[in-house]
Formats: sequence, C-alpha cells, structure tokens
Amino acid sequence: MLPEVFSPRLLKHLGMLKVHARRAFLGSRQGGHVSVKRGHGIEFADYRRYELGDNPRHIDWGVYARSEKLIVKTFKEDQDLTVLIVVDPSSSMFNPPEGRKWQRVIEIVLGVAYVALLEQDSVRVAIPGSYVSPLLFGARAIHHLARDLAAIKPLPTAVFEREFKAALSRVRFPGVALFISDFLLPFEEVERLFLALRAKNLDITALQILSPEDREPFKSESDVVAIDSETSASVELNMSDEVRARYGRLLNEHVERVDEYCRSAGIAFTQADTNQDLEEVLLQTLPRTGLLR
Amino acid sequence: MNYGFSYPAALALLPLGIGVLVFVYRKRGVGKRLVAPTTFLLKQLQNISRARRVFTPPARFFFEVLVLAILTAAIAGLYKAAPAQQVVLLIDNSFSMNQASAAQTIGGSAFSSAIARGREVLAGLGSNDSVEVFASSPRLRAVTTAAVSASEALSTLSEIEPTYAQDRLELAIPQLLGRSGVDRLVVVSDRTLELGGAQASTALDFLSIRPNVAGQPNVAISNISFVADGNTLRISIYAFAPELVPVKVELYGVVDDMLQAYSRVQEKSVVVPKMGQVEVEFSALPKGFESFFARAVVERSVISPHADAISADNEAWISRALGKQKILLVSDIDAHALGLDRLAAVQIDSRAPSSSGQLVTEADWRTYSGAIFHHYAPPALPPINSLFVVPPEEGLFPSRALSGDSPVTSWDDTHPILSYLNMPTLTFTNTRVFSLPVWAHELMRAREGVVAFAGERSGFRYAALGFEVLPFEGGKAPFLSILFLNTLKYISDSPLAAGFAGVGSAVPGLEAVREFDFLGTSGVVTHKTTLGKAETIGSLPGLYRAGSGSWVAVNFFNPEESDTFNARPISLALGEHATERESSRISLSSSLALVALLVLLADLLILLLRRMFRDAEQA
Repeated sequence: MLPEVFSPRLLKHLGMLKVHARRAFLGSRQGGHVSVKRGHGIEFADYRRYELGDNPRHIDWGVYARSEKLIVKTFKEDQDLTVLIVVDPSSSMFNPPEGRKWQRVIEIVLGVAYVALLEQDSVRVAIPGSYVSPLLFGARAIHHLARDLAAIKPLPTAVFEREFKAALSRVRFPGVALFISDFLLPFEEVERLFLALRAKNLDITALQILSPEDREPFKSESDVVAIDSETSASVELNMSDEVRARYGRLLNEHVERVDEYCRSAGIAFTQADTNQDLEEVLLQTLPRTGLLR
Repeated sequence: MNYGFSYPAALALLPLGIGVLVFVYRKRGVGKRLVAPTTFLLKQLQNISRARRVFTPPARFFFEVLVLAILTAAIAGLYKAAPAQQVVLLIDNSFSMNQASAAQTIGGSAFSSAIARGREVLAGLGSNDSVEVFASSPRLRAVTTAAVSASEALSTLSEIEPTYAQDRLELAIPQLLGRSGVDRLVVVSDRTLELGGAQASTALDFLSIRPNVAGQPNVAISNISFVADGNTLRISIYAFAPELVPVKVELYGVVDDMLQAYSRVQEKSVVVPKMGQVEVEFSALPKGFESFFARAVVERSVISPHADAISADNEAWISRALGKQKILLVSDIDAHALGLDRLAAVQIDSRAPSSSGQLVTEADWRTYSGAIFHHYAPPALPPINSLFVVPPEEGLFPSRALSGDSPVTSWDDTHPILSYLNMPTLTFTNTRVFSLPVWAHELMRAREGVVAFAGERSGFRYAALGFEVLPFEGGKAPFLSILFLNTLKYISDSPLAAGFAGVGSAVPGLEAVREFDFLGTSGVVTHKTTLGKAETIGSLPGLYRAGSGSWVAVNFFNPEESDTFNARPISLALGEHATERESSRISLSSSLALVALLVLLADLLILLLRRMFRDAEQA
C-alpha cells in the first residue's frame, strides 16, 4: 500500500504525468517512448531507397509518381524507458531523526516510480549498501515497491561511494536516472558520484533534499560540540550570529557549485525541502527539471 | 588599628573559589554535544573561544572575584581589633558550677562550659592584650601570677577546679573593677547579672552559662545530726525542684578495715516536697559505729533523669560528738519556743533574765560552753562566750532602733560568723544600730550604722546581733539559721558540737598534722601535707583522721550553691564602675556580607537596565 500521503487527488495528477527523457534510449520492449530503434512506430523517422525485402506497404507512392523512384518511409519504434532511482543512504539522510528527510525521500521515490510504472516503463530503485530492487514493470509493482521500501531499514554507510558504484554495476539498460541526496558531501565526492552515473550513459536528474536543520543547524543552541553522524568527528562551535551567517554562505556556495557542475555536465538539478508539500515536489519541482511532464 | 580574622583557615576558600571561577569561565565555551547530519561544512567554522585557548579574564571575572573575596573575608570573620587592653577574666568555680551543663553532655558540667567560654574569650583577644585570670572561690584568687598574654592565660585555665565554697561574686566583681588599669572584666558564672547604678568607662562582660532559664532541679542533704537520745540520726533532705521528688536515703556505718570502708545500716524512701525539706530519722543505730555516711539517691525511674543537677551535695558524714555542749539561754522565752531544741548536739539550759544573777561564781559559768542572751544583757560582760540577740537599747551595748527597711551595705565576709552567707540581698526590719565597742569588730553595717559585731575581751568571745535570728527554723529560714549556727559555733568554740565541721574551716585536732587519712566515697586515702598546702585538710567533705585518732566529719551545704533551680541574680550597684563596653574585636562579617549583597544588587540593576536599553533600541 502506498503511504497515506498519496491521496486519490495526487494519484490522479500523477497519472497525468509521464517520465520524460531528454534523449531516446534503446528500450527492452515496446512501450510509450520513442526509441532510437527504427520500427513500426507512428513517428516518421526518414526516407531511404527501397531494398529487397522491404515491406511494399512502406513505399511512398507519391514520391514514386513524381520521380519513378522506389523510396520507403522509416518510423521510430516506441519502446519502454528504464527509470533508475538512486537514493543516498548516508547517515546525514537520517539525522536529525525529527527532520523526516528519509521519509520524504521514500515518498518521492514512490511518486516517481508510480508515474513510470503507470506508463509501462521499467523501474529499478537502488539504495546503495541496503537494497537494489529488481526491474519492475506494470502499475501493480508499485505496491511491492512500497512494501519493500517500508520494510527495509537502510544501514547508514560510511563507504557510500563504493556501495554506490556497486549498485550502478547492475544497470543493464541506459535510461533516466533520478539521484536523490542532500549532497552534503565534499564537492569532490559529489563529482565522483556523478561521474559514476554519467558513465552509465544515463539521463540524470539530481534532487537535493534538505531539512531545516541542514539550513540552520543548532538553531536554539549557542555553544555546541557537533558530532558528525557519519564519521563521529567532533567540531567545537560557538554558534554566534556571525557564525550562522557564515554557515549560510558556505551552504549556498556548496549548492551553487553542485548546481554549476550539473549544468555543465548536462544534469538537471533541483532542490526540495522536507517541510515542502509532497504534491508540490512531485507536481511542480520535478516537472520543472523535465523529468516528469 | 589592627585587623585580623577569627577563622583564618576559611581564607583557603578564596583560592579554591577563584580556581572554581576560572574553571567555570574556561568551561563556559564548551557546549552541549549534539549530533549533526554532517560536519563537513561546520568544520570550516570551528571556532574555539579565545577564552578557552588562553584564559584572558573579562572584566566581569574581576567583579566576581571581588564579590568572592568579600564573602570569604566575611566567612573568615574579619574583625577590627581595638587597641591593646588589660583584661581580667574571673571564673566562677563555686560549688554550684558542679551542676550538669546545659548541653547534657556526658560528664559535662557548668564548670567545663565556663572554662570553654573562658577559652573562647581568651582566643578572641588581640595579641597585644594582657590578661589576668582569677578564680572566685573559696576566695578571690589570682591564677596568673601577673598580667600575661592571652595564650599564656589559656594554659592556666586548667589549674582552676570547682571548689566546695560559695562564689562571693558580689565582693569579687567590685574589687576587680576597682583595680587600676583594668579595661575590661569578663566574668563567667552560672549566675545572672542585674545591674544598677551609673555606667562608666570600665567594661564588664558578664557571661552567664546558666544551663537554662527554668533552672535544673537539685536534691541535697541540708543537715545531718544526732537526736537528743544519741541513738537516732536525723537527716534533712532539701529539694530545689518544682515537683515532688522521691528520694532513697541510704545510711552507712564507717567500718574502715582493709576490705571495706562502709557497711550499710539502713535505708528509707521519702518524697521530698517541691522547694521544701523533709527530715528522715534512723533510730536504733547499731552499736560499734562512731561515724556514719549518708547518701540521698533520687529515684530516677520515677521522675525525669535530670532531677538532680549536683550529686556532690547528696552525701554527708557525721561523727559522734565528743560530748554535748551546754549552752545557757537567758530569755523570757523558753528554748522550745525559740526552736533551740532542734539543735540535737547542744544541750540548752534556760533561765529567765531575772534569775541569771544566781550564776555568780566563775565555776558556775564554766559549766557552759556559751550563753545566749535573748532581748537581754547583763549589766557587765559575763565571763563566758556570749551571744546577744537584740539586746535592750540601754545598758551593756547602747543601741537605737531603726524604723522601716534597712538593707545591709557592707559586711566582713572573712569572718566565720558570715561564712556561707550572701549578704547583699539582706534587708532588715526592726533593726538596732549599735555603738561599736572599742574591742569589737564590725560584722555588718546598714546605712545608719553597725547592726552586728563580734570580738574578744578578756579571753572570751562576744557577738551581738541587732536583729532577730530566733526562733531557729532550720531550712525554713536558711539565711538566719546559718547565721545563728555560725554565731553559736563561734561562741561555743567547738565546731564538732554538731558532729561535723564545715568545709574550709579548721578541723579540730588536725591543725598541725603532716599526715592524715581521708575517707571519702572511694576508700581511705593517706595524704601528706606540705607547708603551704595545709588547706588540703578539710577542703573536701568526708572523714579525716590523724594517726590512730577518731574520724572527724566535714560536710558542705550551702543552700544558695545547691539551689540550681532558682535564678540567683547578682545585684550590683556599681556606681562609677561600668556595665558594658564594646568587644575588643569589632566583627566586620555582617558589614562585609551587606557590601557583597549591595554589589550583587547593583550588578543585577545594571544588567536589567542594559537589557531595557537594548530592548528599547531594538524596538
């Protein structure tokens, strides 16, 4: 069962969307997306000289009447699209617990998967180090996926990059990829993750999800010893107004750098807050990237 | 002006407090340990406060150190010492100081409390002050040889011991206050002070260690005597208590062999009325005992355990009189009416004044130990020791009658007739004032003149009292009864007539001995006296014996000293002497505490004002 947040109204709106790839991919079976494969689709692809064996029904008789040459029309074949959803399971996605970051991520995964499965696309969800789903087909698979995601308790991993690459190794068909993370990692690490994704020839969309605690850490504290949830390293801080302002600037600089990289690498990048409505994220934020239309 | 600390050890709190303050200031920058999603951005903000790296105290730190220093000084008891002064410390070591202390500590007594207070007083004196220590009993005695420092005086306190004597503070205090150069007199006593008269320059600190306001009940043997038949012993028990006191009286015969000092003869239980006396008679005394020991034991199971403040006055000894003394009474009133038949050790022969002339020969007079002339005086001094009680105005001792009350103004407390007596409280009515004979010594004086005198003339002792002391009423009128007995003893010249001598008086037969036996409550002890320590004989109640002679009993009972229940205020009309003066140390603790409080309040006010201004600016 989908979580309660998926109201009939939201599902109705999601049913009107479809996952959109900015370029054609070779599908594994017939579907609703134009494939790079020439075939029996309805979208005209090109003209070429008639060759032995071509179906005479594809001869353009109008051209023959004008030029007495046998020319056949070719069409793009409609195939399915493989949608890969990769979620960052690092410790920062679970802290602070009251931030609901992980829960919101799961809801977004289900929303995108619902749209894809409804359009007969194949979907694979990868949580590096914890879970990689089989390739899912058909609308009914969303319930299996919801059940699996609710049941699994992802193990926060400190070796996220290695697990991430291991999960990508199971990708067989290129397609659309949605990478959900807070990207609160050193930029070099972020860059390596994106390189791993780009190596799979995927049409990548990056969704950065942040909680209010990420934007304004230790809001009601003055002096803190911050313990890193991933490395357990400690940092002594006097959270003065000046320090808070500096943190805000650092975060913005980091996000802008990631955004700039994505733009240069042809990756669609967007942000969502945990206190943002799910409907807003699925129906407005993600469509703005072109992933859903 | 000298400053010092009463408790200098408390100053150690200051470095300790500053250490804690520094620790708190350094600790102030360390915040709560909180889990952050990630610290890769926060790491770039790490900013350990400067105060934690190098302790550079802010201005507020010095403010807090100031408050801490003020409070520490207050705790340490900062004082301002007055200029060096001459202090006299008078310790009351009279018999009543044997009473249990207020704290009811085991073995603690009022005397130990007094010594403790004395130590406190000496410890509180400045280093430049000089001290003389005095003990009040049995007579005013300097314990220190000269004015010494407070620390030296402290060591002399252990030389003072409670005595079997009265305190005589009424005499001692004016005497000490009258000494030249004395800046301050500190008296430690179980009595309280009532002051009268003008205040002047000399300070008197009267430290009363009276255990409690209500006083402590006490039981005492007030008298022990043989009744006329010689085979009956009469013991008077007095209770200074607000309730009936059940008492068991035990009588022992003196055995005095190697194994045993006493043998129990009889015992009786009586109930002593509150603030009253009861007499117990032990008849059919067994033969063979010449001396007896009596002890009164309060039945503690019946009344409160603290019903007997002093145990030393629960014991009495008596030896059989060497022979009854015969006293001639010349009076129109018979011996029974005058209560003289209550004197068991004295045989009274009564004669009317009109028939006294029949004693014409000296041999006749010599059959008597003494004579009492009551409201009568012969034309010439009789050849016998005589007491004249309220003699007529005309005749042998010219006198005149006074009307109204006449308080005593001076007295000779060294005379044996006035021993055990506290004179200043005495007020006479119907008194006669004598013209003092040239051979006589003045005993007591009222405002208008001499009311009692005594002296020797031609080898005989004479005493005259200008006020009525008869009938003899024993414990019902202790003051007059003791005065009468003292006078009778003086004129009869035999302290053993009653079967015992008083503590502190010369014990007949033992005046010149160098070695004697003493039998108290813990067996026979042989003492050797040395020159200058002859007062050892008779200084304790018990039995004394020189060589193989007979035991001589010595007892102590003074109703004022045994009365631990009623307050015995000392009434001093000090005249030019003083009452109170400021202490040699002026404590600054409360002032310092007040300053610290004001500083903290000022700090709070400044804090509130700053907050108000900041809020106003933000608004």
